[in-house]
Amino acid sequence: MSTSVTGSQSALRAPAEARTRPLQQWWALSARGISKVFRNGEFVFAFVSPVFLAVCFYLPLSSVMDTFGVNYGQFLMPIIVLQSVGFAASSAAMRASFDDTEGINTRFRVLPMPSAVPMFARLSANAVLLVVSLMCATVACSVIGWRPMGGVVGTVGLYATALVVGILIGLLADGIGLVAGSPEATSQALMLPTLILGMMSTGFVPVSQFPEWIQPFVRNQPISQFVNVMRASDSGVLTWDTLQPTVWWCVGMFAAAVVLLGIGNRKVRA
Amino acid sequence: MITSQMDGGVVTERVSEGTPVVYSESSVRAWWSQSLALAGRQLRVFVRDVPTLVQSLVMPALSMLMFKVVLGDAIGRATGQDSAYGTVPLVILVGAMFGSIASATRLNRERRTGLLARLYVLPINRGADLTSRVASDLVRILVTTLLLLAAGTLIGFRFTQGLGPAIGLVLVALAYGAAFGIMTLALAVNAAPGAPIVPYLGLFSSLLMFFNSGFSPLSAYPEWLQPIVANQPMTPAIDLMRALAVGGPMAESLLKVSIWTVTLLALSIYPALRGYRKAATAR
Repeated sequence: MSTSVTGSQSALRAPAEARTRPLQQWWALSARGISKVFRNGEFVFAFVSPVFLAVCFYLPLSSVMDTFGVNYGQFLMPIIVLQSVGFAASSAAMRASFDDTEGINTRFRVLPMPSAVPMFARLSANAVLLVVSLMCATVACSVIGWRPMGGVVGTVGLYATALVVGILIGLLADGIGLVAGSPEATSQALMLPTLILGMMSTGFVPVSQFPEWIQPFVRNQPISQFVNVMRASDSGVLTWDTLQPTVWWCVGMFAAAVVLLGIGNRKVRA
Repeated sequence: MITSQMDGGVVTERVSEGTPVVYSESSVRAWWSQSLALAGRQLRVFVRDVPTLVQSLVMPALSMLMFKVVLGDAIGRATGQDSAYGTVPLVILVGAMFGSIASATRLNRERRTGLLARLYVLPINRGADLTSRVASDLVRILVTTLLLLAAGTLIGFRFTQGLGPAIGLVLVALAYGAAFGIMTLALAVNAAPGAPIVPYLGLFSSLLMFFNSGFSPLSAYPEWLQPIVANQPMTPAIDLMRALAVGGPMAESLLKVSIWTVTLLALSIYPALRGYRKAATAR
């Protein structure tokens, strides 16, 4: 006995095509990244590091800086925020590096998933850590005497700068983590730039306190430019002239991040 | 010619023209020769571990330069004294501390991989490995100190008191490093295998690094904090090293350094020995 099957029935019986759901995949991987951040105690360090930095620089140096007419609590705020941002970024780099060495990225390559999803998921986890770091930095800075002086617009500008810079540094660090090859190499690659750019900036002391021969470097390097924008926002005197170098540094950082992520992605594929 | 071999718990030394001289594994001679051999191993491991080598040598030198460039002028103007005489001793002591933390990390790793247990069942002196770790730490501190003193000359550090005080300065660094190193070893062998000892030690060392008379003058700290800063282990060591380099009173600093060194050693030696045995025999 033969049976005839209508077209609609045969369509129901046919195996469903494997469908990719990038948004769901991104959500699942973001949740994985955030839970990892919780488990590894990175939120604890996100709180400890700005408090530690604020205490360790403010208590020994505030009276020294007072002699130069600097309100050191107010002066330190941008660099403490940027150091917190830097902590979140180095955390992102280490996570990317561990994912690479543990082979999870290679596994993701063979799944029906767009290749950008893991990177965006790591970025989301980093953004959450970044927001927590900024909140903790704000608390730490408030304790040492920082108060927002630029009104609503200035304060929004201050945090917007920190957030944009944080996301870009996070992307850059993510690329470094993928390219470096191992957590140890990643740690080494991040250590020197963090130390040099962080210390040799106008974040801790005014540019006039540096020896003359190094002042041009200190004045023009990216951290100093970010600090200048944040201070100008905080004082409510931000101009395009102050903002322009930061915009160009951000464009450069984004370009470098794209290149590094491209190299890292190709390395995973190979 | 003397040849040495270990055989069933004894060290046999054969003098080419005489009869063999036999030392038991618990003898001083066995302890000495085996400690030297194991110290050589520790130093080779340290030299081959490039990241740790960079952290122990390059980072302190770079930090010294940073402190001088960033804070040197500000502190110099505020105190009327060249900040190099605080910065160089500070960085020497910090280098010793962070090197000891790296050694503790390595000890924990060797404990986890079973190397301590293997050494414990070999016919070698029980104290040789622990002695070798302290000895290799002292060699590392000596080399680091000399390199940092050489780097210090680039930022204006000079010995104005002659050779004796210069040697004294190095001895202060060695004493401080030995006390801190043995304390770190004691903590490492007594901590649970998965305990986050390194982050805590790092945090403690970083706190000491910022709250001392080498980073900022004592008078710059808030009044309530000054007694703590003045009497923590690093401050008297830095003050003594400064006095040995450029002159000045040193009796009080020397007394404080001696008290801290003896106290740390007294509190750490027995726990280090007991903890090492426990770590080596734990299953």
